Amino acid sequence: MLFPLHVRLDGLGRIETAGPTLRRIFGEEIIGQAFLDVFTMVRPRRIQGLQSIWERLGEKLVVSAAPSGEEPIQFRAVAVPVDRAHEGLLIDLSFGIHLARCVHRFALTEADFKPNDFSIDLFYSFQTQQTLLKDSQKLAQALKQSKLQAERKSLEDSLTGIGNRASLHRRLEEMLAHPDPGARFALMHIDLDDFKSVNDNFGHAAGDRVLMQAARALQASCGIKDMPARIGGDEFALLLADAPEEGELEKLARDLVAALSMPVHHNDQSCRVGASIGLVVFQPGQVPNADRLIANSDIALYEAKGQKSAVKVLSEEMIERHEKSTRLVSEIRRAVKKSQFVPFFQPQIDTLSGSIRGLEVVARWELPGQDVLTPAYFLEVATRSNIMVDIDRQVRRKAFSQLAAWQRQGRKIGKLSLNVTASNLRSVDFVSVLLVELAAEGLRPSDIQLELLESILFEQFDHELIEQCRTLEQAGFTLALDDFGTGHSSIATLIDMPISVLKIDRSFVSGLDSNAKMQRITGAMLAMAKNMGLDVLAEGVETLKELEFLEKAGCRSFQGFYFSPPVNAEEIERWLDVWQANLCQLSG
Amino acid sequence: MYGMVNEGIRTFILTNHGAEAWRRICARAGVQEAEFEKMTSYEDELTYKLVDAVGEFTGLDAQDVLKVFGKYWVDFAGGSGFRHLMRLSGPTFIEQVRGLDDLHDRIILSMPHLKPPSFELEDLGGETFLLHYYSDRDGLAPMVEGLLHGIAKDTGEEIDVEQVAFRSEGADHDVFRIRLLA
Repeated sequence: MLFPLHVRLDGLGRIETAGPTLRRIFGEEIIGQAFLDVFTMVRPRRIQGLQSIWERLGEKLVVSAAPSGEEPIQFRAVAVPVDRAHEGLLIDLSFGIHLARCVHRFALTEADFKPNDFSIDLFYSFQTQQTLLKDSQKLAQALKQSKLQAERKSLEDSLTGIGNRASLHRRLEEMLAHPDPGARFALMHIDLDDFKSVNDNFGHAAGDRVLMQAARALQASCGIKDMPARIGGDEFALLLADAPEEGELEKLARDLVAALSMPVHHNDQSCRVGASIGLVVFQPGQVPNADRLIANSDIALYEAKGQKSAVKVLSEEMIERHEKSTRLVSEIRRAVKKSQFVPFFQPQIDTLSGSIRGLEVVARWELPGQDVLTPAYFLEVATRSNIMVDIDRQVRRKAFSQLAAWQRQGRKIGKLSLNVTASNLRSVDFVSVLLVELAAEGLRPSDIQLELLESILFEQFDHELIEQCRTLEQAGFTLALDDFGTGHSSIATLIDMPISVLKIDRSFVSGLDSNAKMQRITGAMLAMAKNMGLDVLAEGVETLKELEFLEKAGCRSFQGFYFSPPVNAEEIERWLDVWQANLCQLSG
Repeated sequence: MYGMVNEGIRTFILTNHGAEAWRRICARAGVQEAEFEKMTSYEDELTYKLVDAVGEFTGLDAQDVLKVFGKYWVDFAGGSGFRHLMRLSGPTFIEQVRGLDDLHDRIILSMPHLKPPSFELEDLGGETFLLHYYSDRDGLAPMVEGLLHGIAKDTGEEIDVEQVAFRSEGADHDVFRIRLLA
């Protein structure tokens, strides 16, 4: 059948005949009905009546019909006149966009199509295409789920299950871009105090427990729109989406400090940390990005950590201090590159023999054309920025070089005294570096006295430190305990450590001549040192009376402004010359 | 709306403003999807939110965003293989606009849930036409204007377009007067 979907209309537009496929779809009752009663013109839209079809002979038309009153079907159509008298019309239809629906709905077969109609072939192609589409959508959905899951994990702290630094960063960026410029947020930057000691003393499992408890405490302080995050080892953040007034906010932070300071039980033991909080209140667009915001909260946190278990709200003064400190760090780095750090020397004298026991080396920053700066100006910033190691190395090497020069000149200046920090002692290559530097100048370890702050022994004393001290002693260095009396060393510590010199702190020397109580304590310290076979050197001697009292109490070694302040190499040479000359006069 | 439209917006932003801009626009629109499947159907609301967010980001009002995007759409869809479908209608601007409904009919065969708009061209003579635009969706007429310019650019013709009837003002449908300039 050449036209299985045709209709032939009479002069009044009634269907005279219809193709077999069309009759199958609409039934035999289609015959005799007006074409426009059965079919609705879809396109062109703005035509009405049979005349409009006559005006569009040979053009593409789109019609639709609803067989048996069910879902409508669209057909493509083209009309041609049946005879020369133009009384009848032949309208040939084909399936349009509803091809697949019709094939299924009316169980059509190839026989229902024109022999040369390719659309039945397309039907198979569409079926395959749709199956492939469904498969690909299913696969895409699964991939999307996996991606979402991976993204969720990438934004989550694996130990505590709360957000991580990346998720905090993302959330902060969202808040900074919040459309309501009046919205008010707060960022609490939290650092656990003494967390390292929990790991050191109770093990990492206990440390993990502390971190998990901290995360729970943060979650408990959160509203539904707020966000807790762990952004570093023992560093947390709490982002408040609706920040209260400053007073209430600070109270919230203090409550959080209290919650974080609750003891944690692990394996029948109880451990406890504290917490410091830096607080920043911000509004959309107030700072350029999340990094700046976190840096600001870190500034406030730094101030809080200075007091421990404190809460500090970011202020302009804090930012100014921070900027000043940042500038100073740059200046110090430049100064190290320009080799502006130099050794100054302060004599240590044995008054009984009149000889020079040695020279203590202290660092000074020599800015060309300006005053010489003492460590009070740069020590804290340089230590915090890890530049102190470079400064120490620069000063030490210059001092060694100077000592070697003095030795070559035949000057008897005793040992060079160098201050040693806990991080020096913990450095695995500290001893070997010292030995190499000494060897480079032709010096020996016996030329050097290393001074350890008593606080190192009290606060950071452990087996590793004792071993390092023993290694230094065995290498030939003399070890002195600096600032003795200011810390809380036990006698046992003094016995364990290979210390041969005690330096009595200036606080026990200053005003000694007029303070009877201080005299008794200092006397007892000297007696104890003598009984333990330790040399004693009193530092910070400023007056003759202080000197005389200490000499009477049995002390013979001194250091202090009474003799000389720390001075540069040139000046110490002059001082040594004068001292030697006076000594010769006295003995001569 | 089919994902292809949203993907077109995403590609437009990525091409012209970069990845960070797209991330911000998504955040502003509250849209979680980083990319869209072209053949999947998404809520119309999502597209409207994206258009609003693009407007806030670029400082353009939503109508201008749609005009710019409509023009870009022809290039984007052409790059996705739809250019061949458009060429089936003929090489000229008028033929391609006349063929838009056929194009959508052909696409519907593979994407049966598509609810495409309908376009009908009325020849007024003197190189002037009325384009009748029918859509179930509100507010997308400015995109049609951009789209027409995009097609004209593609066929190398120049046109002048003016909207003369507005569905948003009570008309049955939107109508554009098009004049072929060259």
